Amino acid sequence: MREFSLYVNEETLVSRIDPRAKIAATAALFVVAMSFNNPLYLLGLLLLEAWLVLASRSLVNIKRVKVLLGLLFIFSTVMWTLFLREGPLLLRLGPVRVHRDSALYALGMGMRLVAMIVAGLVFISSTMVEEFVFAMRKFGLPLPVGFAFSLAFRMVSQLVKTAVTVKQAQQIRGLDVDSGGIIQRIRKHIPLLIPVFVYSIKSVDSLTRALEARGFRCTRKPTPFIIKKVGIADYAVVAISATVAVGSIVLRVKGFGEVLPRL
Amino acid sequence: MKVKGLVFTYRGGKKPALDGVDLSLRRGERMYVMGKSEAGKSTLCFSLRGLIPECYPGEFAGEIVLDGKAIAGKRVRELAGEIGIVFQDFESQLFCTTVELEVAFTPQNLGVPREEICRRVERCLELVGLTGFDKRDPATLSGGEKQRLALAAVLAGEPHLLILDEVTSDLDPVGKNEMLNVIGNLHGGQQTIVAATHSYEEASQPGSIVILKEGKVAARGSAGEIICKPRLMEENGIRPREINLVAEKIGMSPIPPNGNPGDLLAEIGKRSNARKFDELLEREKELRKSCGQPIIEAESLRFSPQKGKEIISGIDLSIREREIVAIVGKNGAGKTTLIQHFNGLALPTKGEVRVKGISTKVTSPYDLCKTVGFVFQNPDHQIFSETVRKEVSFGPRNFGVPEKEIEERVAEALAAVRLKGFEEEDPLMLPKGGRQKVAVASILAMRPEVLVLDEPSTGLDYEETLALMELLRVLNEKGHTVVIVTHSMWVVAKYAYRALVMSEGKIVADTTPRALFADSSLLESAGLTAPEIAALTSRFLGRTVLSARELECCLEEK
Repeated sequence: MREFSLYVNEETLVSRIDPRAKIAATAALFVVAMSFNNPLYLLGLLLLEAWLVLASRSLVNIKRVKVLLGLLFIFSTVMWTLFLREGPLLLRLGPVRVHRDSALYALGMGMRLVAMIVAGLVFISSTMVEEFVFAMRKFGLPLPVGFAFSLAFRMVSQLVKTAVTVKQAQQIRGLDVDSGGIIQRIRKHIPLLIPVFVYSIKSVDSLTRALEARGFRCTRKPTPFIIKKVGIADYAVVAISATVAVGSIVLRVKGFGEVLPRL
Repeated sequence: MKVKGLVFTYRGGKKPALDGVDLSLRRGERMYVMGKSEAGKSTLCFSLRGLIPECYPGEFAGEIVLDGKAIAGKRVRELAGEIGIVFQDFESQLFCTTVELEVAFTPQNLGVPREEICRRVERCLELVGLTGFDKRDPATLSGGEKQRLALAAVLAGEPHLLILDEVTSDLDPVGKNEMLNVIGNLHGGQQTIVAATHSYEEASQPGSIVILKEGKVAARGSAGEIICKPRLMEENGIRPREINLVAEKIGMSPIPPNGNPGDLLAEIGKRSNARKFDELLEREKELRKSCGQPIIEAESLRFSPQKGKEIISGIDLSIREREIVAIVGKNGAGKTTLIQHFNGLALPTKGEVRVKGISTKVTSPYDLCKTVGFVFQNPDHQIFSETVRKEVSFGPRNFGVPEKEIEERVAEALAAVRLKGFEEEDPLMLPKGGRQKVAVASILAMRPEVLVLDEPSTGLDYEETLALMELLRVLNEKGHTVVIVTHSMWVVAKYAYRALVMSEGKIVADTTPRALFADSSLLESAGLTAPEIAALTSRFLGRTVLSARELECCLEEK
């Protein structure tokens, strides 16, 4: 049973788009993010994504990962600034030198990471697992692989929930996994791993029983229940996505949107 | 359906789980399968559904015939349109992201045309009272709603025979009643059903009862015949109808389900002695007075795991030494979250929780668990050792207790839970009741002053629950404070000194079980139901008696 789902169960402009068109749009956002390293271009992308976040009502999920996003942005920006030495020197603090082009590129890299994560989150927030599997099957993914994929999604959240409970159950019996040497710490994880493992096997066993009892078989195609008719809006999303993706690649090849052309 | 000479031994099993079971069931009939844990109830359900022997390896013999055709040789999935099964664990049988997809899953697999699937989804959701829930995420439903959804998902396959494997045992009283109402009215009461259950209330519906004992049919008869034999029920680990225990004691005829208890209550009324009842109340007062100083206190406690979602909304309470406190309320009322604050598993967002006067915010969970022992609902969340001895010694060893003392503590804890002699057994191979006892022993070995148990009777039969609760009573007499979260109202009536009623994150009543079960409006608003004996005595005698034993104590000899 899903407990840690990121899917926002609300009817929105973004959720109404066909999942195949959404996959195309997400891929296009990734291509744009990868094409440019100039912070100004990436800022434009982030503004577009900010609108998508609001339109898909996925701000709640962005808030959930805000610390991770912040850390990734800061870490990436700082590391690229420290290790690249391109362009005129802006600042010197002992051994630390900050060059203009390196700093801009570093900022762009941080923004690129954030843009890609946000694009993925908007997709996950607005698409049911079943819709995603439906789209992947339309793209030729075999039924057993698609079903295994959707089950894995559900099992991951159950596994996380079990792991949290097991950790609490062992903590209150005095288990402290954060103390001791590396070998000792690994050994201390055994009381966590065994119950999670045993419980997961039991859950999978129950799930298999329930699936069998409800007539599931990998070899026979079930009656499609989710029917998505690709409409004009979906074709428009695909067309715009393709244009934006190709346009970004062309612009980059022509030298636009880059701080450091070699990278 | 006809079952002839059914025998099944699980691979590695020492004795058959089913041993020569013969049954027959007519179309539209209902059969309730009862008995102790491990009596063979679930094995019978799985066999009737065809899950045994396909999904469970072992030795199988006998014949099961449905609508004149043997089901042997048919795959489990091939029977999905003929026999449906709903399992006890409602979490593990729901795997879709919306309610309508969940219900559509079975007919989709059966190749039913889409238009018909849409009709079935609508019809089945209406049957279980979930109309309008079609776009909801199943994870957001209450326990009772989830179990009704699991039922709808199976009904969508339009099975001739419906098997229910202890489907109400994880539900709160409201969820249980909702589920029983839905089952009772399926297809105008004409759905053929085999239901495994521990509850005589569930088996009181029209139909027959089969009692299994060690894989054999120990008794069978109509609900009226079996429920009127309280001793037979007790012998087979089934909670008897308490009013019939009293009837037997005073030499009157037992009351069948839906029977009129008027004569029996009139006789009880004649024989009841007001002085004896007052003595009972006096003893109860003395018992409450004898409790010590506050050991756990909560002040203006609020808890929000995320902004805008408050689970505990301003609780003030004080639990005293040597009390037995029951926390009751609907699923989702905040009971488990509240008790998690008692040992630092959850920390207040606002307000404070103090254990022995010290705030849990300034005490580490490591230190808190020496005072407050917490037994989780599911023992499988903690058991990992290869022997019972190692499992029970895990806590004291983590606290650096010397080996000699650990041995003493393990022996003492195992003796308390009556598991002496099981030291070298693999705890994971014990039945659920045994695993629950190991979990309790592993906490007892840390010698905490307070024992907090989260729904300890889930999955246990009457006999096992009684044994566990008697153990807690003995520990309480030795000085332990006991806090339990439970849906079993008879457990509250029989063992608790005090009942905290929770609703939507608040304590709406802090009272005695007797006062709680006398207050029908409080019970209704909190989604609770009084044990039958308490409800009957409140209504007809004007005094609330909590158990058959109490009532017997209040009667004059003839």
